[in-house]
Amino acid sequence: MIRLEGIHKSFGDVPVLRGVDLEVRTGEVLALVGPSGSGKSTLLRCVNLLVVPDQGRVLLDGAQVNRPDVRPEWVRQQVGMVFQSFNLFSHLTALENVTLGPTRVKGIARDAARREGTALLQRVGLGDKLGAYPAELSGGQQQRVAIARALAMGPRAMLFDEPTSALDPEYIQEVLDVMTELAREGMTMIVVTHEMSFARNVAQRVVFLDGGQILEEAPPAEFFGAPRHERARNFVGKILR
Amino acid sequence: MFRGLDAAAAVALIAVILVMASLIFLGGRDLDLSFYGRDWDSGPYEGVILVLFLQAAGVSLTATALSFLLGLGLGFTAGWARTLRLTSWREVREDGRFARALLRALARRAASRVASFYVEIVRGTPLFVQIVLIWSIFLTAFPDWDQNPRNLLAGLTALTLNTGGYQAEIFRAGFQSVPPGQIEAANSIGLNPRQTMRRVILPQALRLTLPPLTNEFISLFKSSSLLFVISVAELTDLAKSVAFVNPQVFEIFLLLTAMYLLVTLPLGRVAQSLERRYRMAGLGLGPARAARGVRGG
Amino acid sequence: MGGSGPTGRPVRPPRWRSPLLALLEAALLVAVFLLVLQAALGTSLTDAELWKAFAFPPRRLGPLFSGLLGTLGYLAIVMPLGTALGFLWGWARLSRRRVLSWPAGFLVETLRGVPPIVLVIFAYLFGASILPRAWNPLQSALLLAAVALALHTAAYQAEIFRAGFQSVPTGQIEAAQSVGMTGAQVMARVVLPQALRLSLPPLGNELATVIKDTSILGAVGALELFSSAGDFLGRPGVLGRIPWVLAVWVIVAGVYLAVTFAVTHGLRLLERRLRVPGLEGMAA
Repeated sequence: MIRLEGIHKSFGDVPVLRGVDLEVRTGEVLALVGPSGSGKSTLLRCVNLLVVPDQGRVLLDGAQVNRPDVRPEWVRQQVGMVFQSFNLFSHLTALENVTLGPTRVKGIARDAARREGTALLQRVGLGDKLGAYPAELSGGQQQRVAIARALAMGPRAMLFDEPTSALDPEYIQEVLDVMTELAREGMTMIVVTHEMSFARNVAQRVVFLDGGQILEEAPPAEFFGAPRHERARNFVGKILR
Repeated sequence: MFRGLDAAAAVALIAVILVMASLIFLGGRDLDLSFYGRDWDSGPYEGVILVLFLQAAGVSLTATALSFLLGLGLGFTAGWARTLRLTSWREVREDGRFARALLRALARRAASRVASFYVEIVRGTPLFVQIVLIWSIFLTAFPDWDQNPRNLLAGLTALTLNTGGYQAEIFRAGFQSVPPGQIEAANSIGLNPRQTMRRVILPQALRLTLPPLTNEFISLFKSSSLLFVISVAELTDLAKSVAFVNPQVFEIFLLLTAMYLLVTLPLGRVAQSLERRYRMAGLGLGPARAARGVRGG
Repeated sequence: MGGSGPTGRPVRPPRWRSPLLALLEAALLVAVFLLVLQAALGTSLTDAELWKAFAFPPRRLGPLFSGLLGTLGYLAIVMPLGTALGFLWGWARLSRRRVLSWPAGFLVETLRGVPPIVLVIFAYLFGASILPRAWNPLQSALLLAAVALALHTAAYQAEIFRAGFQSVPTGQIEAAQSVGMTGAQVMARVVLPQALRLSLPPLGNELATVIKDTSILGAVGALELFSSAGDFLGRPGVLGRIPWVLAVWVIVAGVYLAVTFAVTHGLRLLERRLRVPGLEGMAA
């Protein structure tokens, strides 16, 4: 469903992505791993055009979307994103955070958006926090609101940029549970993560990115059990110690 | 051309150019400023505008510096008084030596109230009004003094009181911004309150007050321009008087602007670099609060 | 706000437990203050003649009251103009286009580095010489002076708004974009609501300063509180009555205090209405 072909991206003189090809099938959960600075976040942001590649094609269901005549806003409605630092809108309540996109971008009526938003927040376990402001929520709760906010747009795929890296340990599991549930329901997901338990148990494929290139791609059992590339082996060795 | 050229640096550059230009175009004209009562002598440069301006700038700067330094003591005391913890009646009653405790409590209350009163008045009324009020008091109190020194003294007093009030707030925030953890640590290694104050609180508080104090100096320098209203011979007063006898009003005021900018801009840069070294929450942009449950904040 | 006093114990704002005692203390302080004032000024504070200067309708307008109205009038010109300009200016400061951001920065540094009185006198003289054929040269010169004051406060407000804009975490802008909002929507729905709330406290401070700065306009002959007090004291019949001189200035100071107090408290109420937990970033 999502295809990246020959993606190159540099920031100034620094090349971050050096020719990346990636394909994600509908309903697939892909874990994107690698050392810091390998370009994982940048690659993720190429999918919803928060970063525009210097070279290469970004395809959504076979149609190229990194073209001047395609509005990035439209692309972003199809693909939702969840950030490491949650990025909830501080001046809005949880429910308002969730309904802002549907009402303002998709033009959905306020009441309908509120009903759907309430349902979504209940689904992530925050039905009693509809009127809470982000500052009143724990990190784990904020991230779950962020997931609901992204889901409210009815995306075809979801991108996760290290969703649990900024959380205190006690809150990590609740977020992973929501993500696992989402995967079980068949959502197409690309997850940049350091949580290897998630990669091992939920992802169908693990992609290892290092130095701006994909060095290894394999199902989790194979990736963690017998990595082929040397750097992948180093990485797995460090992670699993 | 603009790349790398800081906006403020550019303004400073232009100010210097203006001053240079004025040297060429305005300097050397013979001005009859005999009506202008000032206490300095320009010697062989009598009538040269640029020299007059430099001398007036000297007066402005000296007045500012004097008031600032005097205001430092005033502000420190008032700021400290406003941070006094007031003893409640219960504590007074519980204290063994009632009379002494009562006296201490009342003294603390009085000091805090008076300081707050002073600061609120100074910060809530225009400097113009403060200057004229002090000047009237001086006029009433010393009617047979010579005009120039009396006006200057009145002006200095007004500026001192004014900056004292603003500095009080700076010091108050400084005292209150020392992280409580520091004080906890000091107590836990056995320092008594006075040592804690001297060795832990004051050094940090004073460091924190440096950037805002620099800004206050700049502000005071600009405020010194208001002394013209009581005929103190400083920069703005000179400009007004020269504009009286010289038709080149535009150029004169450009020169005046340049003079002020030459002082405020470099000092502003100094203040900015100080600010970067000692950021202080509560006196400007504070750091945003971290959400609960987030590592690293 | 809070924090530790010099002795390390947390500082609570001095407050009585019983509101009655607080009222008593306030009354005591005011009484002491008035007594001291009386002693210093003689009996002038109770002089009815003096208070006539403050007469307001239906009687004939006292000179000091007209001055007060003048001050409020200038405030009504300077403040909105200054805020509107300052907002646009702050925005321009953050523009990615150098053509906008550089001159904006240049002007901010210049207009802030010069005392407002210089700007006001400059504008007044400029107006008087450039617009002699205008409808009312004096009034237009004064108007220009007020505009100069507005420019001066706009320069400060530009920095306040700029800081407000920059205080909104950029991650939220990214998040808004990722939901498909256009640039304009991001600005209107995410950045502005937060930036404006964050800017309110320092704006309140700036408003208080502008109230005091209107007195500068009096130096070029505008009708406002400061100059009308000076005029009043120069009148025959008033000139030389020393106790009156001091009393008038004390009263004028009190009026400025009252106006500033009213305005800043009004703004604080507004702040409280718009307050959102977690969005208190910038100190006044």
